Amino acid sequence: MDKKFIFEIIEKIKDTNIEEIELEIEGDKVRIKQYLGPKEVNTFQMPNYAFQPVAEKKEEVKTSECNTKEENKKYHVIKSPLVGTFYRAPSPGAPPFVEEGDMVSKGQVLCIIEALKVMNEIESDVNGRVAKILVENGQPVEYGQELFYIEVQ
Amino acid sequence: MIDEIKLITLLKEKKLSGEELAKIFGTSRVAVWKKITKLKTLGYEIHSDKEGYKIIKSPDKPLPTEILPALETNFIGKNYHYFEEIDSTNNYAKSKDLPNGSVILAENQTAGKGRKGRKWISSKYKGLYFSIVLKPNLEVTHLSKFSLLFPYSTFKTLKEFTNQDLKIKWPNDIYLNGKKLAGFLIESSIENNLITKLIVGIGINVNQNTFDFPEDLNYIVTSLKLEEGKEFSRSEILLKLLYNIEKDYTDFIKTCYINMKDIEENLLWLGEKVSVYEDGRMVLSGIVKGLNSDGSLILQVDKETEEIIYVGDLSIRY
Repeated sequence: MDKKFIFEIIEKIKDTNIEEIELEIEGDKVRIKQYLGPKEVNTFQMPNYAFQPVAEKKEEVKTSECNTKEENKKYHVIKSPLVGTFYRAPSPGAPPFVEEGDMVSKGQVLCIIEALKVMNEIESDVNGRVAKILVENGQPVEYGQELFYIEVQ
Repeated sequence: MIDEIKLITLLKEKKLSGEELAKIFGTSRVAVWKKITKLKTLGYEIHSDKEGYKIIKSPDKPLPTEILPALETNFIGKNYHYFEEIDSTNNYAKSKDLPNGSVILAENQTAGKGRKGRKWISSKYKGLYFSIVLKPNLEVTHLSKFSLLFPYSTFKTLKEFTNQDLKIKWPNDIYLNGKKLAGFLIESSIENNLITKLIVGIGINVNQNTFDFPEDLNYIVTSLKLEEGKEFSRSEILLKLLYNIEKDYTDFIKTCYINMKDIEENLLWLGEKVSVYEDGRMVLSGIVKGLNSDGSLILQVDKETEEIIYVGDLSIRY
């Protein structure tokens, strides 16, 4: 999620009585809370929130950033170093190099990416377990596209 | 220790006695005799009489003793590995950390391979089956051009040995009189956006007879001998090829440019209608128009539409 976007929201809600806002965009979650002073316990209603001392307002931003970091720690991402065609097996009909759940070691071949008949074996650069395979056999892949999640052991 | 290459060079020039040779190499006559025996087992025909030894015929094998002294390159082939038999020269090259320009050649491959696990038939002593290790350290965007570079060097080299209909089948096969003569399997390693290693596997059918190929392949494969009706020196072809590859590769590394027009002119089925197959399934048909600067194929699929092809095999079957 764009940081600017988050700051914009903070600006927007600063002078309102919105206490908490939670957004989810394309899987990214962000929750913004602001401290509006001690909650009124009595029934006396403040007619205008503008009277509230601004200085006391505190903003607390909780983004999914730390979650992502945890994910990264948990999952090592193998990305495509080039544009080409993704192959999970050395030849059609042959068993795939790896399946989800397989243990892989550093240097083990995970897939082949073919670019104009130049075959590029993509190796795992960590020891771990294949948590997720993100591309289907025979599909075109872009530079930097995520291919595998590896749960580092 | 007797330097085999020096010994062979000497004995090709003139007759030398065991005593003279022992003196030259600072060894015993027994050591010389042992070496001579070894050369004989390698296939050298050595005449020997009271006056000494002389090589009267060298084997037509691209032995290190034949290739290394005759190399005209700066780095390709300087590190030369010769095997009577190996699983696959590409596999060997992949499993070892070999210096830039290393060449691994095998007389026979028990698991010779083409792309996508296809087999490559290697008839012993009949063809040239080898891999070159290169470390270009070029940006990955240039990778596809290598697919055309090595076939083009090979094409030019083979042109020196035949005047018949030699063509490049996009992207990396060489055809003679409409049949496959040579094939390539290029494997690469990429680190941090750079092509750190290329393993260029090359297979050329040189002296095969019809019976050296599986029967069902006779209509689609050929050898230089089958088309020209004579035997060729594999060492001579290899030496010229390594020289040409080094020249073209070095030029390419400097400029990152290949003149695709030169290759285009020699494309098999240029201007003809072909079909593109992916995993045995026809995906597209059109007329071969030429090449883009990155090596991709331009196919005219109808009057208004041109398609750019990166994947698939060409065929004139419909």
